[in-house]
Order: sequence, then C-alpha cells, then structure tokens
Amino acid sequence: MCSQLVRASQAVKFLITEFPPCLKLHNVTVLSVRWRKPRWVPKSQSKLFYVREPTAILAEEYEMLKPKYDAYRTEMKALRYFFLQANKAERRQEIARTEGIDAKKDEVQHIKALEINRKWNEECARLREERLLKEREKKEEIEYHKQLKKQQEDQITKTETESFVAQSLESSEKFITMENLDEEIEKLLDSKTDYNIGFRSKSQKQ
Amino acid sequence: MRIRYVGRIAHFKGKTLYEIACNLKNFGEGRVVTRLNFLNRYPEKSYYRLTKVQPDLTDLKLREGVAWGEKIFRGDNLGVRKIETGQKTDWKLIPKEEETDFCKLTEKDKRDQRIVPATVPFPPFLEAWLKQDLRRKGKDDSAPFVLNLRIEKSFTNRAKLSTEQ
Repeated sequence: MCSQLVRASQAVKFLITEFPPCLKLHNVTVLSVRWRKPRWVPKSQSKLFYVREPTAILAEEYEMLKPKYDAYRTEMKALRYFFLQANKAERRQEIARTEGIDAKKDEVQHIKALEINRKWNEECARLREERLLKEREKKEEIEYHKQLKKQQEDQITKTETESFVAQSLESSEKFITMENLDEEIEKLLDSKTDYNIGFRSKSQKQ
Repeated sequence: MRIRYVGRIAHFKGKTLYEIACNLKNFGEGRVVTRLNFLNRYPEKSYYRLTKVQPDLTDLKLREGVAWGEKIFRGDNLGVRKIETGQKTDWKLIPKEEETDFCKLTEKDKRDQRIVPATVPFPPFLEAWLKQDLRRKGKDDSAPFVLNLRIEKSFTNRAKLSTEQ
C-alpha cells in the first residue's frame, strides 16, 4: 500500500523541475536565494529601516479557524503515525518471509561448497605427498654423496697425515741436537761447497 | 517636516523580572507578577507567584538570571515551574494590597476542557484504497477502518483523549 503511494508520487515527478547536478548536494537540491547582488554588498538605502507590519489577524476568523486547524493537524499526525507503523509491519513481514529462504539456500550452497573443498584438499594432499617424497629422495641422495665425499676426503687426509708423520719421524733422526752439535759443526767446517757452476737459460744447472 | 519612525516597534512595555526582583525583599519571593502581554491577549487571568529568583547581578541590564514560580496560566494552575521568559521587559508587579483581588479566579477565568475523541473515521478515499489493497492481497476487508488519534502529553497541551478523562 505504501509502495503504491510512492509509485504514484514518482509518476508525478515529471511535473517537478529538474535542477542541474551541480546544485544537488547529498540528494538535496541547494539553491542560493541571492540572485543578483553578492552577499557582501550592503543593504540598499530604501530598505535599511524597513520594518514589516505584522499581518492583521481577525479575531473572529482566528477563533473560528484555530480549532479546525487543531483537529486537522491531530488527524494528519495520526495518519502519519499509521503509515509509519504500516510500513514497519510490512518491512518486518518481508524480512520474516525471506529469512528462512535465504538460510535454506545458504545451507545447501554451504554443503556443496564443503564437498568441493574436500575434493580440492584431497588433490592438494596427493600432490603434496608426491612432491615431498621426491624431495626426500633427492635429499637422501645428496646426503649419501656428501657422506661418501667426506669419507674419501677423510681417507686422503688420513694418509697425508700418516705420511707426514712418517716423514717427520724420519727427518727427526737427522735433527741437530745438543749432543750432535759439536760433530755437525765439525762436519760443516770440513765440507766445502763449490758455487762455480754455470746456469742455462731456463735456470738449470749445467 | 513629517516625522518618520524607523526601526522595530517595541512590543514590551514593562520591566524585566530581575529588575523587579532586585527592588524587593528576598528577590520577590512570594510576590505575584504578571506579563502584560498575557493580560492583553487572554481574557483569563495569568500570573506567577514567585518561589525563587536568582538574578545575574553581573549583568548591568538585569536581563539575565533564573527564576521559578507557581504558574497560573489562563485560569489553570500549572504548578511550580521554571520561568524561561524572565529576560523580557514585559513584567508587572502586583502590589501586595491588590494581590488577593487579582489572584481570585472566577467563572470567567475558567477555560472549557477540550476532549478529543480517541478514534476518528478514516478519510473516505484512503479507506476505499486500503480496502481495495486488502482485497487484492486476499485479506479480510470487513473490519471498519478506524484512526487512533494521539495527543502529545505536555503541560502546554490541555487537550485530552476521551478515554483518558
């Protein structure tokens, strides 16, 4: 019923003048009343001391009209309240009517969505498992090769150290100690090295 | 030369409430004051019996302050209320000798009670439209359409619904 009235008022809209969009602000048409003179221009001399005479109200007319106006306004207020309540009731009914429907639809959609989601999850899990397996294998291989390499290197170092130790032991026998000192000095003094040799171009002894 | 009056007309010919109060003992507690406009406008008696007046003595024109008094407006006693219009230069003090005569409320100070009916029939065209709407929706349209009137409950509104008498 209220929607009908709204439609009727909308049908009459063509009678109302349409103001340009620049004057519309927050769905309210704003018009400035001062058309010709700007606001900072002072009042004209003829209008400076203008005082409006109050409209004459006839006593009998007022006495006759006032109760009629009171009755009219009371009824209009009651009508407005009636329409307000009717509108609210309609709105409540509409909500109640559509409440269940939406909930049911949502429920069905939810179940479907859950099913789809489950399938996706399964697929993702499968792919994930495969990937993880591959990665694990790869890791293990790398680990194995590392270990192998390490072992080899350890072996090498071991042999090297052993040889070094052997060499050192060997050479330690030839060390000059406090006991050998006198003997060695005597030996050196007795020996004589001859530097009279020739070199070739590639610094080789001739 | 013809005299030309300029400017606004003074509607008030009296003193402010606080001006009067400042010349009285206890700032006019217990005294009777009226507004000249009430005397001129309404045939019924209207006055205030002051209970407390607090003028703002920092105001040189004695326009500011607060006041409370028992309000008798157009023959109806509305009880002790705050006086909002103390700043208007419209007040008149009733001398103590004339108080009893002035405050006597006679038959002609009584106003008729306005009783408003609780319900009123709907406007006929609207009723027809609503009934048509009900029929369209398949609902029962035999019940008569009755508009419940609503009266604002305030001290200024003397009208009463017939159900609340």
